[in-house]
Amino acid sequence: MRHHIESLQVRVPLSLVLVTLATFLCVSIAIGIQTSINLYADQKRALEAQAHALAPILTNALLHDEVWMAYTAVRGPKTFPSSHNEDDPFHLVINDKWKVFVSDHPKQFPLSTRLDQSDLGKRIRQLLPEPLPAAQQFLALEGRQLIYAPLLSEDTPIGAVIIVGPRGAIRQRLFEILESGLLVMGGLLLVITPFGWAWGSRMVKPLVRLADCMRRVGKDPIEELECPIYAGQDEIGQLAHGFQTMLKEMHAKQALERQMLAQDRLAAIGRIAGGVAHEINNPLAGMLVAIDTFKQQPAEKQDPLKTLGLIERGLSQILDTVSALLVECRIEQRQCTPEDIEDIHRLVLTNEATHSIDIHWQNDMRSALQLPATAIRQILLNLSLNALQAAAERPDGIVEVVIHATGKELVIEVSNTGIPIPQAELEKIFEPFHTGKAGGTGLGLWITYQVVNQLDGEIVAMSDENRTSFRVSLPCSNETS
Amino acid sequence: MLLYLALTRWARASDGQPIRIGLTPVILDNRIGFLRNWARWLGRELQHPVEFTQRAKYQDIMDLLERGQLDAAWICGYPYVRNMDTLELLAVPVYRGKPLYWSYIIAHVHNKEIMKLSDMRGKVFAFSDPLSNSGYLYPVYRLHQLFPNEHQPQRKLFRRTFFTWGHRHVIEAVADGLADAGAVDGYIWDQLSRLHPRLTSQTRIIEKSPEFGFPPLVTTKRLSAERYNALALAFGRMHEDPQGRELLHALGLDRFAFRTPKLFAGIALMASIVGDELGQEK
Repeated sequence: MRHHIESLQVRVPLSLVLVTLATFLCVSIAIGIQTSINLYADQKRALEAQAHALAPILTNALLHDEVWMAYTAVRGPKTFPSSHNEDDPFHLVINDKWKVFVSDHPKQFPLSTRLDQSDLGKRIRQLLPEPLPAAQQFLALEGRQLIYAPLLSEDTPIGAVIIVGPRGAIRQRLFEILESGLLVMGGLLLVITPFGWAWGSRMVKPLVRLADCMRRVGKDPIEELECPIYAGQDEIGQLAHGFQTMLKEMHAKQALERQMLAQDRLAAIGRIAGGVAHEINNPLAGMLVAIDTFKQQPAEKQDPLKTLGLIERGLSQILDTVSALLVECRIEQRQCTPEDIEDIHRLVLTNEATHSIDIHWQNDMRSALQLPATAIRQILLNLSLNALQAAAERPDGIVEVVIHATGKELVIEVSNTGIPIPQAELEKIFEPFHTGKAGGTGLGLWITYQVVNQLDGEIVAMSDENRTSFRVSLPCSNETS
Repeated sequence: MLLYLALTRWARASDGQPIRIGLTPVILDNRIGFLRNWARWLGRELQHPVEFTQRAKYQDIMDLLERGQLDAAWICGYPYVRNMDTLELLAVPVYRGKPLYWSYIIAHVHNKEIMKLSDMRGKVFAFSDPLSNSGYLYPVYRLHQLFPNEHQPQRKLFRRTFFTWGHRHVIEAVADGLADAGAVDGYIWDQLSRLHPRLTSQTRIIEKSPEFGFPPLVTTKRLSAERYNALALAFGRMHEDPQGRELLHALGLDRFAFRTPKLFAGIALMASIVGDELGQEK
C-alpha cells in the first residue's frame, strides 16, 4: 500500500484531483465571503424599505391608538397559528415613553409594558439614547441587524418602530449557496476524477516503465535488459534516452573489466611461473656447474662425494621451494595454548632487530583453543618477524601484536610503523615469490595465506601513512577442559 | 301567486339604482364568492340587482343607513336598540332553532392563569367593536356585575384594551397572544371552529353569556312599505328554495324569521344600565 501511495502513478492523478478540489474550495470560500457581504447589504436595504413602508401606517395607528391596525401592519401575512421562533425577525413599536405599543412577538413584548421589562428589550434600549432620537439609525444587536426608525408627528418623535433582522439568516443562505456549490462540485469531480486519473496515468506511464527497467539493472544481466522506452522529446524522453546510453556504456565497461581481469590473471600466472623458474633455475645452474666441473677435472682429482653433495643440496633447495609452494597443514592433534603464544613472544624479543623497536604485545588468550599449535605459531612468527623487519626501516619503530580470543574466533592483529606499502603492492602481497625486502624468498606471506585459508580463516592486509597491519581471524571453539 | 309576485317585485318606479344592503362583521363577511352568489339569488328574487356594501366598523354602516345610502343592513342588536326610533326590523336569523345567539369570553388555550373574567386584572383585553353587543356591551355589563363598586371597571381593571373591528380579529389577537382574553360573538366563533379549526383551537372559552336576540337585518323607517315587504319576503323565503337553503347552510343559519323588537329587550336593558358611559367610547 505504501508503495502504491508513493508511486507517481497514484500521486499524479491524486494531485490533479486534489488541486481541482482545492480550487473548488477556494472559489466556494470566495463566493461565500462575497455572498455574505451582499446578503448583509441586501438585508439592510430590506429592513430600511420595510421601516419606510411601515412608518406612515404606524404613525397613524399610534396617533389614533389603533393597536390592531398597527399589529396587522407589523404582523404581515401570517398563517395561524403563527409560530414564533427566537431567531425570526421581529418588529417592535414603542411610544415616546419607551412602552410597547405593539409587537409581532406579543408574548415576548406584551402590550403597554416597559421595553426594558424583558432582557431583550433591555438590551435594545441600551443601544439607543434617551430621549427618542429623531433620526433613523442602524445598529447591531448580538450579530443581528437592527433598524430604528422614529415615528414623527410634525418632526417630533411620538414613538418609534424597531425592526430586528433574522438571526443566522445570512449564514443559512450562505450554507444553502455552499451546499448547492458542493453539489455542483461533487458532480464535476465525478466527471473530472476519472479524466484526471486517466490523464495522470497516461503521463506517468513512460516513467513507470523506465522505473521498472531501472529496477532490473543489477539483477538481470545488462545484455538481457530489453527496455521498450518512450521516445518523446520531453524530459521523460530525454531521461529515457540518457538511461539507454548509460546502459550501453555499462555494457561496454563490463566487457572491459572482464578483459582486464583475464589479463591480470595471466600476469599473476606469469609472475608465479617466473618466480618458480627462477627459484629452480638457480640450484639447477649450480648443479650443472658442479657436474661440469666434475667432468672437466682429471679423474684422480674428481671427488664424487663433493659433487654429489653439491647436487644433493641443490635438489634439497628445489624440494624446499616446491614444498613451500605446496603448503599443507600437517594434521596434528596438539592444541594451541597460551604458552605457544608466549614462546613466540620470547622468540621475537630475542631477535636482533628488536633492540631499537618498541614492541607492544597483548594477549588475552587464557585457555587452549581448538586450533593446531604449529600453524598458529607459524602464522604469528611469520607476521611478527615481517613486522619487526619493516619497523626497523624507520627510526622509533613500533610493533604491536594483539591476540584476541573469543569463544568463536581467534584474532591475530600485527601492525608496524614501517614504510607504507603502496596499494598496488598490497593487492599482490600474498602471491608467492613476491617480496618487498632484499633477501626475502617471497614465500613467507604466501605460506601464511595458505595456512590461514586451510583453517577456514581470513587474512587482510592494510596500509596507510602511519601503520601497516595484518589481521588474521580464525574460527575456533574454546577448549574448556 | 300574483300577490306574491307583486309583493316581491321591486318597485318599478325605482330610479334604476341597485338595492344596497350593508354588512357588518356580525357575519363572516370576507367570503366574496358566497356574497356574490347571495346577491345574485336576492336579485333574482327581487327582480332587481342587489349589491352588498361592507364596512369594517359598525358605525360606518350605521352612518350610511342613516344617510339613506343603504336600503337595508345586517347590524348588531345593540345599535338596533340604540336607534329603535329610526330603524325597522326586517328579519332575524334563526340559529340552531332559535333567533338567539350569545357571547364568548375567550383566552389563549395554553394560558392557565385566566379561568374567568375576574382573573383579568392587569391583563390585555380585546373588544371587537364599540357597537357590538357580544364583543363590547355584554362584557362591559358583565364587568359591572362583577365589580359593582367600580366606576367604568373596563377602563381600570385591564392594563390595556383595544378594538379589533371584527370578531374574527378578536380570536386572532387572543390566539397570537396580543391580547390575554377577548369578547367574541358566539355564532362567529362556532362558525370559525367549523371553517378554521386551527385558529379557534388556539383559544379556549372561559365564559358564555346568556342568550340575546341574534343580530338582525334592519331598514330605516323611511323605506317604503312596498320595498320593505319585498325585502322581508325575499329573506323569509330563502329556506324554501334549494339555492336559498344552500346559502343559509353556508351561513350556518336555519332561516330568516319575522320577530318583534321585544326579542332585543335583554340588550336594551344592558344598554340602559351601561350604555351612557359607552356612548363616550370611540
